[in-house]
Amino acid sequence: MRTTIIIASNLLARLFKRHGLFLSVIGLLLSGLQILICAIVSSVNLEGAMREISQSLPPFMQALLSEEFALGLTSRGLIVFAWNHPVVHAMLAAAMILLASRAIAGEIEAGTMELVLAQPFSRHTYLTTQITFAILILLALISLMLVSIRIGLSIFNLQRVLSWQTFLPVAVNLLGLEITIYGVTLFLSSLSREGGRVATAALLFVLISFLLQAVARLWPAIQFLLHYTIFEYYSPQQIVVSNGISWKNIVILLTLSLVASGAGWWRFMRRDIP
Amino acid sequence: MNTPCLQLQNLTKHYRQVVALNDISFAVEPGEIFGYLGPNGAGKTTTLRLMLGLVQPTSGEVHMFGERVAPSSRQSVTIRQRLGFLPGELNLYPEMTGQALLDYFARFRPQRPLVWRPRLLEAFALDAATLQRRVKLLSHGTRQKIGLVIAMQHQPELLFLDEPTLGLDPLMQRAFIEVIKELSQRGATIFFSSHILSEVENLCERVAILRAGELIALETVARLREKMVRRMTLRFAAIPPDLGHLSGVVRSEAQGNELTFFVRGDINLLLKELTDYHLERLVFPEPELEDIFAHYYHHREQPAGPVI
Repeated sequence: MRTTIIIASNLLARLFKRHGLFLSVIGLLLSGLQILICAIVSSVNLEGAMREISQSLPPFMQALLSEEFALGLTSRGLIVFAWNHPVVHAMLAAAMILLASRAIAGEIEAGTMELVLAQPFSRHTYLTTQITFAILILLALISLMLVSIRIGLSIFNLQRVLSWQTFLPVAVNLLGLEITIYGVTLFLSSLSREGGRVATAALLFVLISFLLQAVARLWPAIQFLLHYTIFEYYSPQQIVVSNGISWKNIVILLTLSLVASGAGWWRFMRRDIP
Repeated sequence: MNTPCLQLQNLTKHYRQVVALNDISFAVEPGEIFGYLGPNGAGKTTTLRLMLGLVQPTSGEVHMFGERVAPSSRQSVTIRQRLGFLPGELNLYPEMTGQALLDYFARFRPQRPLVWRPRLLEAFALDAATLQRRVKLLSHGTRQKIGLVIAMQHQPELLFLDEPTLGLDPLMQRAFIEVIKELSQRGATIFFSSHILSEVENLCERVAILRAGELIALETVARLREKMVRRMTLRFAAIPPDLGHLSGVVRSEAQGNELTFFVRGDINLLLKELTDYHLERLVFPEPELEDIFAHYYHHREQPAGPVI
């Protein structure tokens, strides 16, 4: 047991060193965005600005903002949008896709997997460490977003508008969404030998899911497709409006994530290296 | 009788329709330096990957230290504590320094002290300054030396080397041979794959010869030498006489002033006999693997071929 812990720590330390810089930059950007949005909310005439912004956007972007409209174009609506902003999704998805695609396919593509898996630990230990690292990073990034929104609300005196605790259930929902993206990418990674190809496929999956949600909201004929997009199960605005988390969404996301990463796990345990 | 350190039983690997390895069986005794010889693409690397559990066999079994190797089993993990491995296509993390890499791989075996590392660093002329440089800035040869230290620094009991001298200069190749002999004297078993016959001939006691996934020979090096038909080219000032009757000459071919002998066994007698003739030049190159294969294929077609 002690040996396994030493080996897992060694693998984790290497992952931190390898991805530390990139993930720190993502963390800083996510954090900065939260504070920036608080600054904007405190300094503009929101209702007018939101209306102007929404009218200038293409219809699919308006559809994405529709739930903000449900909050009545208020300051609350815009602050919550900081957690559903395309940039937030892009950065978190990039982090998850990078980690999962490199965990298997990227390591094989780099030619290092053979030497690594010849060391005295099982593939279970290897993959458990990779998944643990991704979860730790995700928790760190989302915690950083929470801390930043708290700081932003406090600096710009917006606590009367929205309490930072409101974001706790949103954080749980966001965790579910990003773990799903990681799980799907890990599955793709277990099938491939090329990290780049896996990252591209995963990116397309996220992008299509994101855009499909927007189009399906605009076009009633394809609204049934909404259920097939992962973003449909992440709804920070609804959480704020209803003041509670949708456990159904969490269960759906976690199930998806478990099925995808379970399939990836099964495949990795049986696949030939390289 | 000792339990073999390594034993392959009817090991077969298919990649869809392609047979990468077909029904391979042999055993390696403790303390032996065993050569695994074959041209590129013969299935040497696939065999190594099967032995290390990186590739799943289509059928057959691998046993190490008397235990069956099954990927990801607890036993396999324990067995790997006692192994060392240098892959054929060595790739290291380019952004890490040599020192960091050595330490990183050493930490996977916390209970095995690195008593042998200083000796290896000295033998391969890897100084502290070189080890402080990032791997991406190092030459191919230096990376290969780092790979060798990673494979051996914990003094493995069973060492797998896939084309280990690739990229090493002649001086380092000599250092490598010394290190391997020293490790063997300390009781380690060495499984050494190569496509260079002379390399295996210099180091190994026994060899297995592989071609297109088939084991075509399993011999001691001494016996291989006896059987080996080697090429010798002689150049004369004029059209050469017929010398096919000289000692050890299996066949001779004349072309202009040149005569090519195919020679088997000890050449000393032949060289003595050749002193009666005036030669302009004598070329006796390293034997080619293909020459050996030709010999074995020839014999396998006959009912009483060599035991494989």
